[in-house]
Amino acid sequence: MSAGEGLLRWSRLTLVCLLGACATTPKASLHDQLGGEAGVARLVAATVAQVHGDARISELFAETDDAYFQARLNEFICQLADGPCEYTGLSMPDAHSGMDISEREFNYFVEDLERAMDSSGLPLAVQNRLLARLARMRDEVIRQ
Amino acid sequence: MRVAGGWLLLLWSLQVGAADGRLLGSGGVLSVDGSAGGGLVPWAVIAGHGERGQWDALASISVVDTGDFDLHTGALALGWNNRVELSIARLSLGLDALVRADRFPDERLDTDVIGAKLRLGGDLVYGRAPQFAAGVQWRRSRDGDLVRFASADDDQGFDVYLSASKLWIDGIASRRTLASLTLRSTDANQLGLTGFSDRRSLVLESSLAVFLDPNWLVGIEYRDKPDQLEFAREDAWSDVFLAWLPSRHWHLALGYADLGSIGGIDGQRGYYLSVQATP
Repeated sequence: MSAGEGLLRWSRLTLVCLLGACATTPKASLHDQLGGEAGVARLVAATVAQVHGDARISELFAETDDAYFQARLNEFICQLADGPCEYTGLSMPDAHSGMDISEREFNYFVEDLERAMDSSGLPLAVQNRLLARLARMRDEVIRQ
Repeated sequence: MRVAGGWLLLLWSLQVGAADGRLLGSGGVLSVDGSAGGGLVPWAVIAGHGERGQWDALASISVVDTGDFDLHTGALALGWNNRVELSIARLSLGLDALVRADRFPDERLDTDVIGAKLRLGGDLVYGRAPQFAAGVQWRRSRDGDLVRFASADDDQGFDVYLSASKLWIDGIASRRTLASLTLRSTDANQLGLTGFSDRRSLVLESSLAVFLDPNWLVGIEYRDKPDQLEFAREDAWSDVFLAWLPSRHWHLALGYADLGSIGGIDGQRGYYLSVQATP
């Protein structure tokens, strides 16, 4: 087989992969990548600790029932990450109604979540996958 | 450049504190014209990291050296409310090769650029739509006689541009990935360094950048340019860069730029370095 034929064969294989044949191989869900149930619980606990320690937004959580909030955030992230859970809390607009969260306060929360993900040892690619899904919801959270 | 350096120290001494409402790096760096973006090309972002209710002041200096020519820039910018950006920049081109060959007087060509940019809508990071911005840059050569001597029609002019930029958090290799496109109407020759033309040109500029991690950014840029000057051809500019963003206060960028033909000498390539500070 000449080098040219080899290259052609390789390109064809690559093309088949790109067209989806390879995409059907089972891939770990984001929930798995976050460390499953235990991983999400660790992340949520670390995030709640971060926001309470962040003077820029801790006031937003001053009257929060931590146990209830952690349970709902657990479900929420689990469901968002394609895990085997169902979120039983209020819709995003209702959950943040009356708080009038600003763009920057949303961003401070993102930074706290990033710190929590760092401290949980999550790889950057997994962090970004979760953040990208959360980022889509900003308009349902801010200015409610 | 000296002025920008002085400003930088003044800003630092004021200790007003960098705005923190937006993600690190979402303000880009001050480009060669003073507008926030990549090194050569503006993005649709407002300089700094301010969100609604915040403002940011930035200073930056940069140097490109191709051996035959060197380009120094000092720039200052204000970003307000994540809505409005005002900037001033001084570009200074040293024509070492032409001076050595006795083809040009022993003087640098300096041009001032005053810029204003308005975020029209959208958000760089959040939402499906890209962020859009419109900008204007007034340019004036400080060496009017020299640029006319070099066959330019005028010693001042202005650009208007429209930019669209988008950052995908989960982009290439699940890294934050930014793409930006700018459409510009300009009458400047070599950014105004060699004067201005009576005819306007429409040019396209683009950049693509990937955050390797939150503090390191690699990117490529391409800036199409007009070619209206008789005595010397003008080429598109392009570069690759690596930027280090250790904090909101300091951004450093090291790049390799291809400036094409300048002053009739082809193949002008060289390293560039840019430092940006926010108090």
